[in-house]
Amino acid sequence: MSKIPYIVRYSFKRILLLLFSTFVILTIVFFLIKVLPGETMIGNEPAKFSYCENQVTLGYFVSYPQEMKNLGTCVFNYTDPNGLQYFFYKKPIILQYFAWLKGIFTQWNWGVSSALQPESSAIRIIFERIGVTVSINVIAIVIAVPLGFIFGIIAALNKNKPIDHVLSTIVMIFISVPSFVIISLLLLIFSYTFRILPNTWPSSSAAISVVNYILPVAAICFGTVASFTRYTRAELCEVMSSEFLLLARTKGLTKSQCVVRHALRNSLVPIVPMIIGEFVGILSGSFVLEGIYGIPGIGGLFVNSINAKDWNVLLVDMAVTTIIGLVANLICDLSYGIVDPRIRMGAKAA
Amino acid sequence: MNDVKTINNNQFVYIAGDKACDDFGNSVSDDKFLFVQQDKKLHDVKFTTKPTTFLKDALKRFGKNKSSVTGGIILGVLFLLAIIVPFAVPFNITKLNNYETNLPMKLFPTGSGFWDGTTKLVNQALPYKLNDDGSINYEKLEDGYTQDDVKDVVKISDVSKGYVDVATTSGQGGYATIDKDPAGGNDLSNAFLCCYPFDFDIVGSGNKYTATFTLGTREQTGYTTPNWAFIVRGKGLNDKGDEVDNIRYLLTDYSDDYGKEVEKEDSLMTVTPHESITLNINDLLNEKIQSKAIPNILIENKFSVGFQIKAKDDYRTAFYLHDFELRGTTSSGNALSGSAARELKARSFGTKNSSVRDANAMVLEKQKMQDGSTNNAKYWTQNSDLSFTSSDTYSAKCSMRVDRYSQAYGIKSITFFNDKFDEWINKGYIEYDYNVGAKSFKITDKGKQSQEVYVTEVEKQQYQEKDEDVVDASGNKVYKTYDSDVKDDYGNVIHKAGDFVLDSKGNKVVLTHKVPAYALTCKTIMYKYLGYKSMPYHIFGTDGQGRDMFKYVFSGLRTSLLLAVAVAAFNIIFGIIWGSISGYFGGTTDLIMERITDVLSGIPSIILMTALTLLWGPTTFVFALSLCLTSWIGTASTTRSQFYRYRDREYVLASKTLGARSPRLIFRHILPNAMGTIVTSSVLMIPSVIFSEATLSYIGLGIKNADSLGRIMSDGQKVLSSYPYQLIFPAVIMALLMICFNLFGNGLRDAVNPSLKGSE
Repeated sequence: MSKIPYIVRYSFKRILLLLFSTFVILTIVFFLIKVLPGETMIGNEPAKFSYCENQVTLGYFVSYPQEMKNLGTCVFNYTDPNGLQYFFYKKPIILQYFAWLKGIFTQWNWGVSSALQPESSAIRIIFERIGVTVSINVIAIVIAVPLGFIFGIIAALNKNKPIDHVLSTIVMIFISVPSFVIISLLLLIFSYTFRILPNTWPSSSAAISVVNYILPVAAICFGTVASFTRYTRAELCEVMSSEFLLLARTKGLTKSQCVVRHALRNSLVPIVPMIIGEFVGILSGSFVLEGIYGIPGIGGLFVNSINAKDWNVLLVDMAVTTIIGLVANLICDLSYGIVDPRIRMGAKAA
Repeated sequence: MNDVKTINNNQFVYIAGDKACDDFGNSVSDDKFLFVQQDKKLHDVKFTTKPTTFLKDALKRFGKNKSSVTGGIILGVLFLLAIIVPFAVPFNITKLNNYETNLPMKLFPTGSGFWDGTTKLVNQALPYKLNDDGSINYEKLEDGYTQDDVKDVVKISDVSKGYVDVATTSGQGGYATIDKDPAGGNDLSNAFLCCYPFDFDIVGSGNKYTATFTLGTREQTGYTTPNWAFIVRGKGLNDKGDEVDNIRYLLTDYSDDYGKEVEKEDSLMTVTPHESITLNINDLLNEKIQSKAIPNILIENKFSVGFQIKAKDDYRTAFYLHDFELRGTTSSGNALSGSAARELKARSFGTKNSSVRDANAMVLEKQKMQDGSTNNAKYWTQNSDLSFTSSDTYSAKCSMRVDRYSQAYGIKSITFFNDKFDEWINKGYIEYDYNVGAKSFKITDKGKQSQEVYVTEVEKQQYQEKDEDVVDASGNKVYKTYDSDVKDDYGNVIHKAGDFVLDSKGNKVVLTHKVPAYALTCKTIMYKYLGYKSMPYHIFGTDGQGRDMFKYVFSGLRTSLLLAVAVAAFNIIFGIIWGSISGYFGGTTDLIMERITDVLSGIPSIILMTALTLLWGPTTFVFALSLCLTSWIGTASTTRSQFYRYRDREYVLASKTLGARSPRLIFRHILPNAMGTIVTSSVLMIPSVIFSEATLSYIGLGIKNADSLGRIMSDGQKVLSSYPYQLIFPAVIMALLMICFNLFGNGLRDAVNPSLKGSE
């Protein structure tokens, strides 16, 4: 046996796998979007020219001073004020791919945006926007987890009593109703009917206040609280009916002692990893919410970049979302081992 | 004693070798015993209960779960409605119905106060006249309202001076004069007026805004045309460099150029409009910020854009804004998102200072009575001279209930061509003479009986040419073709000469020619004109294109369900095949197949969908295909694990030793056992397919050629503030569907697989 602890070896293996998965997914996505109809060039002729020049620097296009019939259709041709001619042609996708890889690995250059914010670096656009997405989701999780936990405990301790039935019904409703329906109804009630909350995210950062967070956070919370409640209830019910708890009761512990010391701790085992899983879930699901509420986050950017055919931004957005998902998955798996040392994820069966 | 067990009151069972004794320990003689069943023949008794199958057992368990049964019943009703409603409801939802847009929901007769097709208008400026006794004169209602329409004026609310603050991107009218120096002097060279029709903030997300406006010159003696400039107002820096609100900055220099004059407007205000001027606000702002004329802090906050008018040296100056519009696009040239568009707010023209009046007939001002009380507001209009007079039309803001159905389907004055008249004359329904005109119109008794004539009165008749389809010798329509080749920017030929001209939807355009005809303006019973036998009821109202929401929602539901069921069916079939091969054979086959699913499930489905949609168009088929591509993986892995579970069971082994081949093992022994779990997981997949379709359609990436629930909701979201019912109905149906599917699916799972009960 090597002296390196199992958890370190396992994490190291998983991180390597994570990087590899990201690489494979991004490669597939790159090829997928490169076979799609091209990016839209916007602006006047000089703007299109500078866009094409940029593509040449990135290695996606080649430019020639005269028309090259054997290279297929010319993407764009431009005559500069000095009378020089430029004819731009697309490189084969596989060469574009290598150029893309080279750009990333040698200069950390993920390309520039072509439509959303022309000429600005794609990676900068993402990092400008990731903050608001993460902040809304973290706030939502911080609020939703304790609430869900409390409701779940209440429901489990009152199993098959009216309060449990009421809670379970509410949970059922909020788990089933899509979050965009919830946000729309919340908007309708609080923004349009009673006019007490803003109906959209302020577009200047100075104007953002707590009020702006209420609706999007609430919209996320309803579903999240519901699923936590359901999960906690199911786990706790199972633990409550287990034999070791019966033993504890027979040995004379009161019900509250049983619940607090034994049941709760054991029911936490699958719930802690679930918190992380939930975080990834709402992070990737927030693009609808961001679209409706006009939040300038990476979810809305994802949709915008697809609509505007801004592939570089889309790729970086994808990369960030994928990595967040995979990292959370990793932490989730590792946390099993921390919460319950008996569990060794990925270990070979004895 | 311990070994004696009481069977009956006086019968005992003894263990061999024990001494027989009674309860008190006295010995009992042998003849007191008798053998149980000594002379009976013992054999197996036939079961009196009926044997039950696994399925029946599951069904019984399912039936005990009341919530699941309820869910199932509601689900069944929704399914039935989705099948029946699109056929049973007569309204046409495929074409645009201009007259029936945005009607509220109506289930009960008008006047019942709830769900009756009336809309409550709150604080609307509605011009109307009062009778001598102060009651409302319904015959003098303006804006197309009639007594039938206005059911109940709830309250004439307080009227106050102000501008009607409507969230719109364009406005009309606006008139300002400078008569005196605000400071009181006679020198007007320093006097200026400002107005801010546009209220928005530009930082957004790279959105671009242009302002288009038309100015006008007043032909008025004693007045000159002022200089005007485009300005912004917002947070800025004062002389000391502190941040202060409401600082004005010039965006353009002062100009007295109003552009070329266009045709003279025939209105109360003798104003000549000029050609419209379009300014790119982003460019102007960027220019000014780069030259440090405007601090950056301004555009980081909300600000207004407007005009500043400076008087020339003359005494009086008049400025007229004919119309203005603010347009915004995203950086890529697409339309603004709903939330960004709502930010734009164009206001009518005018300020509090100086002698500025708003000429858009919306300013309401309290009229002081002699006794000091205030009367209803006056309706201010601008006269041809400078004075503003209040006309005798009252324009108070009031709350009232309006019957939108009688507005849409009641009697309306519309103009149409004479073909219908000719038909009626031929049938003998009406008498009409085109040479005499309106007065000769008369409905005959036959016409009254037939109930087909929808015209009640002819108001005007006009000789006019009309477009008619060109028809060839055999009676077929002739389509428009291109006369010469059409080329795109790169010089490629897009349309060859002789190709058919296609409209935006890809349909051929019919060739037309002009024929002489009469245009008749008539009072028309609208519901008959639109082809209804009686006044229609729209239970869920209609949407912005005049589609009946009831039919629309349920045909959307049908599309969503069809899609989901098709995808689920594919998933079951393909997933079972894949999973059973992978699970049955195991080993290398399993390893390879698992890696393939790993890679497939790694590709984000949204990218896959977008890619396919962009490649082959946003049709239902492509969408279903893209959903199918990855969603079978779940079924496959369930099947695989079920196969692993049953593959090595003894009964399978026994069958194998008896010589059964793989197909028999799979189809007779393993699959039937695994089926319950697999089917249940596939039923639970249906709501998730509907959910993902709705989500994608909601953000505009979903199906475009059919109406799905998601698309209907996406349309409803856009008009949420004004017509909430257009979102509420599809949303409620959607929510109901999801809840019932989950209840039903969970119940089914618990019934099929009781060991999973309670785990969610």
